Amino acid sequence: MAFRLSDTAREYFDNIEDTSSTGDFDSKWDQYYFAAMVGIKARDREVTDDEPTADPFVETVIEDYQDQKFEIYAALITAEIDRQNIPQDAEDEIRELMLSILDSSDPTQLSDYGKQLLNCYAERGHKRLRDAGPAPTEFDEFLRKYHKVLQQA
Amino acid sequence: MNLRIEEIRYRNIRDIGSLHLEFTKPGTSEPRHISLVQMPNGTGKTTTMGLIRHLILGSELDDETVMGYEPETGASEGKFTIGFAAGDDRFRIHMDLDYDLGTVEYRHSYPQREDGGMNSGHFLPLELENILTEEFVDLFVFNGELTDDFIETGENKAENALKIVTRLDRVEAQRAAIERVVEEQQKDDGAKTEKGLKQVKSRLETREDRLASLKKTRSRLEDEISEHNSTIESLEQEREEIISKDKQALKKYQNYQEKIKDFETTLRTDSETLLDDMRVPSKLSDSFHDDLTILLEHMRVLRLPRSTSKEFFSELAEQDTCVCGRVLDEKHRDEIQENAERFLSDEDVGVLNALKERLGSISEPVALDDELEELRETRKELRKYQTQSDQLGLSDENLEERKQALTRQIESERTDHDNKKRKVELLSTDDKGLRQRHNLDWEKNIPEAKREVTKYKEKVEAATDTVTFSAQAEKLDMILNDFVSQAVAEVKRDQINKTNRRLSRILKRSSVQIDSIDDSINLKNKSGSSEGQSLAVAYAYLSTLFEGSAVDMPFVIDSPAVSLDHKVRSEVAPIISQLFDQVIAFIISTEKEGFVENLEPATDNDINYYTVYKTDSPGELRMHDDKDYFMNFTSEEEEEDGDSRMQSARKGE
Repeated sequence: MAFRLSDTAREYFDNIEDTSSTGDFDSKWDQYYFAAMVGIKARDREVTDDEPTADPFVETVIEDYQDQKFEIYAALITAEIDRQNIPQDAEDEIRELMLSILDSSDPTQLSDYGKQLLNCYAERGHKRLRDAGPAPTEFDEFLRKYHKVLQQA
Repeated sequence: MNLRIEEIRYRNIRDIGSLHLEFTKPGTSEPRHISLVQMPNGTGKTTTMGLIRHLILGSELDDETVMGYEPETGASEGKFTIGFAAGDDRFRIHMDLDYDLGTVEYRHSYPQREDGGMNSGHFLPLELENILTEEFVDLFVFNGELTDDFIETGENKAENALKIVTRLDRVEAQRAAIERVVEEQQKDDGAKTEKGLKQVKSRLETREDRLASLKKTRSRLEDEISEHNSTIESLEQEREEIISKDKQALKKYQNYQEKIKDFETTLRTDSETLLDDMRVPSKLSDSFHDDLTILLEHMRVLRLPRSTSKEFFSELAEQDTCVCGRVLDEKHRDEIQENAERFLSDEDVGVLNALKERLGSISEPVALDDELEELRETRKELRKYQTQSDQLGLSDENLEERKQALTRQIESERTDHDNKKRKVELLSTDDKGLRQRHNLDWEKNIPEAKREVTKYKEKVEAATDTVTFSAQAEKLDMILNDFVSQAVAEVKRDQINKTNRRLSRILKRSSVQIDSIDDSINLKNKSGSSEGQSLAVAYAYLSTLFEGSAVDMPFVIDSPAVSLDHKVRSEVAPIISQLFDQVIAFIISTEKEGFVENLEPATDNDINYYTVYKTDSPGELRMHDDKDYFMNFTSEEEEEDGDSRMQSARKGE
């Protein structure tokens, strides 16, 4: 199991990369992260059966995201707690959910199920970005547009 | 090597509770020339012949076959043993039948040796090991009723026997093996023929040509991109020169370019800084910051993860006393073990703690709005200067016209440049997603074309190997075929001569001769030969075969004379005794007459006469080795019906 971005998501971000002359994403992980966080903020994801099937872009969490990976996982957990309507005092259910998303034996510390969920949030997040209009031609314009979409999510 | 059978022992085999047949002269290890074993039908002749074959071959038997040997009276185990003499050596093969499990196990022993006790496994002297195939054994553990199959039947028994003894059957088996190996290789590697190979080669060439063409296109495009760059540079220089003729405009232009450059740098730097902040969820949005803070609070309230791990309680449950010093009994231990399940493993505790630790040190949200507003302002300024630079007017109309033409030309060059750059990227990309989006297959993409070329090179290599291999195998098959044909023809000639000489010697004036072997034996003047003569030919043929083989085998035969009338028996009997050095014949009482008295052993007392028959007690047999008893013994049912399987023996007088 690995991190996946659908072809349409890649196309959206590739268009920005192709045209921007004033800055760029440093990696595919940047694109994946931006897409996933929109989905998480909106508590909106694909059902796991509709997880993108495109080839994984990477198996691991890259260096740029090592320090904050647990923040991303925690955001994922809170989104799932909300989506599943788990009461805040349900210790067993929250613990069970956390352990289904995290995996101490995986190098990423995220379980296959956790990666699958994140992929589903990223897919939905990119669709929200795409629905907000065509991909900007400059990177700084994307950052501004992204912020707007994220706030509205 | 001379192989002789010295004895056979039975225990709990069908109706034979216990039986020991010796085929040697009393008190010696010298084999009798002829051993006759008279057994009424249903006593165990066919069973014995089958067991001899299995024992010599060391056959694996299925449970149904093994259990078929179990006596009707029931037994857990049965045993069949044959004592052999191979030259001066003696060895025994034991066949242990387990009727409960339906298994057979072979063991062997050496009666002459001090350490000759039981050894596990089957054994044959090295000289016999590779000779004794199933087909070969069938030739000397022989069913007399099949003798007819050798003569003018059109079946290939006679020729096959010749191939088996001369071991040419092994060469034929090799031919079949070659065919099998070639088929397997062809199945794996596709191309079977030169035509198939040509097709694969042609596909490789198509792909190599395409790859070369794509590379050429990329190289051309790269050259053109380079030219566009030069042209753009040169046009821009020309435009700057035109602008420079209008000093005031030049000053403005230079100012705009500087500004544009500065704003671009600012945008790049600010975007990078902003990206760094946005990569952290707690900085990216107040909402995430709040979520993470709340989650941490929940974990604290819920005491997640528990500070004590499941392992602690699992280990405690194995101790005699608790950490508080209290003695733990079985009930306590069970409770601790059961409750330990509610706690997390060390690993789970570790990963939750890592999460909790990170949540405890999250950053405060960044005022992204301000930074993004700055970006917006910078972009706005940049656009303004770009527009002013593009629209910079010159006071001289001609110069302005010329400048505008150059600007259009530069734009056109840039468009062409960008398009070509995009094409180079599509030609060169190894990104699967990009290839899928643009339907880039091996005809449009260099890495894909390279992979296709490699794939087809491997196919050509494999197909070349297969075609070469097939051709070589075909050649080898032809050589082997020629060899077998020539060898069989030569061996047939030799076999015919030897058998005919033997027939002349045995049958003297009434001799019949073999004309040819065409699968089966064709006789000269067949219409004039008697049934006895025909059988004599078959037996003479067999004995000549064995004479030519590497080992001299005993001849074990079932029912040698059962289908013959008395006159024929009298003709065949002396032949059988003269043709083989050891004959063991299983017969029924009705085939004695005309046969037994005409056997001509080397000496008068060189015949064993065994009579074996069932008694009224189930599983109990009686055995006599007296000649008179043998000659006088009759089985009522065999007298009445030679095919009867029922046996009801009565003592002969």
